Amino acid sequence: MPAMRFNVMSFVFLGLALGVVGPPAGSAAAQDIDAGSELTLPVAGVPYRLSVPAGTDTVYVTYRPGSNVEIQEVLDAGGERTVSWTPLRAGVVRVTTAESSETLSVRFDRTPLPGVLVMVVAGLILFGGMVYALRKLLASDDVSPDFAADT
Amino acid sequence: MPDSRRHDDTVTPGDAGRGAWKSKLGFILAASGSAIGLGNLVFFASNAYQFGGGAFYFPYLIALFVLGLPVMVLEFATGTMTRRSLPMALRRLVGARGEYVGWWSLSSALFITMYYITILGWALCMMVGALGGLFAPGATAPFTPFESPSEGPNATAYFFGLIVTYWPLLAVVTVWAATVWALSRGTETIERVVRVCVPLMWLFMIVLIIRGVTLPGGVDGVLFLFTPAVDGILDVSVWKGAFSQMFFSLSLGLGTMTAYASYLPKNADHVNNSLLVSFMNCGFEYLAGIAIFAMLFAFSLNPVGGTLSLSFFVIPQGIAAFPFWVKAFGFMFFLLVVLAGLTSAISLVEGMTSALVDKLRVSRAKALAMVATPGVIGSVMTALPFVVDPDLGGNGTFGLNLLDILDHWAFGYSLLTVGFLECLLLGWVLGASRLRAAINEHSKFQLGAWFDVQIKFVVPALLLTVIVLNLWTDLSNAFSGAAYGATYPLAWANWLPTVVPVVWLGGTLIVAYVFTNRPTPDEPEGVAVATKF
Repeated sequence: MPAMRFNVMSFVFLGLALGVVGPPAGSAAAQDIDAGSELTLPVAGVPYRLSVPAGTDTVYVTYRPGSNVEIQEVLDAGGERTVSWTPLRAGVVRVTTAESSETLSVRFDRTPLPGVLVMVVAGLILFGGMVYALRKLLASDDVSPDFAADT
Repeated sequence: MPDSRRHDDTVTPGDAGRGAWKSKLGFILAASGSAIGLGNLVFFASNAYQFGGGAFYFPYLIALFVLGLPVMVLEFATGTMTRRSLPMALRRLVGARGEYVGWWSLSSALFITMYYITILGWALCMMVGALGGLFAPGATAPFTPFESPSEGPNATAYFFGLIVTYWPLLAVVTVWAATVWALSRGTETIERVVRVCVPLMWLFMIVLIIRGVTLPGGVDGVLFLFTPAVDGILDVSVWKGAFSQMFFSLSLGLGTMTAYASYLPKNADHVNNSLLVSFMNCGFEYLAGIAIFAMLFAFSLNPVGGTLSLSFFVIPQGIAAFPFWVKAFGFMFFLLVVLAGLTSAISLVEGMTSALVDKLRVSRAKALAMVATPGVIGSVMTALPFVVDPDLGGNGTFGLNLLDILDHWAFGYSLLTVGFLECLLLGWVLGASRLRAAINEHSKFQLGAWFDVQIKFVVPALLLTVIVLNLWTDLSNAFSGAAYGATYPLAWANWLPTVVPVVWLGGTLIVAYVFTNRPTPDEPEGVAVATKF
């Protein structure tokens, strides 16, 4: 069923003035972000350099932006073109400067066990319950000539 | 208490020719098709994101067992025991007060159906557009950010370009025609439609999951969905979000489940049926969450927003970034939206249609015409393409602004209020223990006394809390001059935020009054509370 909360302006795509450049250690050349490429998704816990517009003093990094549990991290750019950033956690992240904003996905550095646990438990409850109820529904002793389990 | 008594095997005049499900599976597919709608596809994912990912599953599952299942058992039992749709079922069980609540519920559901079918019309247009210009550059619309043709695919611009044309009106009429056809022969045609649509929905969802998790970063997106961010678990809004999501998701308080259950034999197992439909609904949401998160994460898109914005802007934008078969996946996604919505729309229209048949003893064709005529007019109004807000300070067109404001009031309040009143009437007036005894008579899983406590105290208290919190926010905003939609710059249509809630509330209350006070042929007058169902 519907639930239509609707905000048009959230989805006006902002210009890409930011770029994530690869891990600094041992990295000879910076790469511009290329959405959709596996290489360009940052990984939690791995240091990166963000390229920002010249003259940027502060960069705001918002983890899980737009949610009730968003967390903000403030990076001091000091007017430089790049700023060092180590993603604190995986997930959707919004990086914002005074001039622009960009959304990034930060990958997990390792398989998150709590996530796997929730996935398994929720799946077992929902699909286990479904199978249980379906078996009861289709149980042979319950089939009456007037109302078959299936036709 | 009046002395009217009704026995289990009594066939009353209105029973004849009402129709009946051919099989249990037919009923389950229809009921689950009713529950699984547009909201299940994307709104769960948005809520899960907003309220802490895996942490949201905790209140969500509690909401399922504490709120969703008991109310669904209640609605199924009401329909089956009386073999009537919601108003007449409640009249038989608790008297005229119940009938009034039933008609109010259905008339409000008709308002919801109007714009729900408009959304399906847009989805139908987007489905066709997926094979044409949706995923091509050059999308443009007469609104501030979209005047210039887009350099790449831009689903948002395409959507706004679409809704300022008259094509959606044709699509809306087409969806109404399909809905009316599906209901033309009652359960026979409904069953035929859901036997095709519901399995297809599951199949398409599985295909989308496979596509999503095989994208680079897709698996991380799934893990992100389930990894709990427990920081806000004690926040009341998380729990409010979970309880609202569960109620809306299961299509409770709309009269649809009662109408469908009224075509079951009286020895139906309401508890097992409720378990199966609820688990199918929530299982589908679980899968939809996986598909959406995998897809959006891979392309760094934020899964926050409402059903419309996620369905029409964000997900197509993600599909546009697929490396291959973009048009095929886009077409399939919107076909999934149309199928999920159509099976829900069918049940929404059936609720009112069967109620009119029960009340007025008119033919199904006449009842359908009585529902479809205002329904089509309302749907066309919410699809009107006039631009009232070229800077998109609101929602752009007259139709979309009307839809947004109507949804806020009709959907936001009527379902929860009806659920609350159902629990009060059936729990206190009829008696939860009597109801439980009747349900247990045919149920393999016996309900304990806890069911009485849930129906009489827990569920009403939870629903009342959510209603009061919502109302408090709305009234506070209204008194500070910012009623819902009042800040939209709507030019000549700036009366919408004031008029829409008045028309919705006034209209539904009047309809409920008129129908409740109209005598029913062959129906006993006064309270006819059954002692044995």
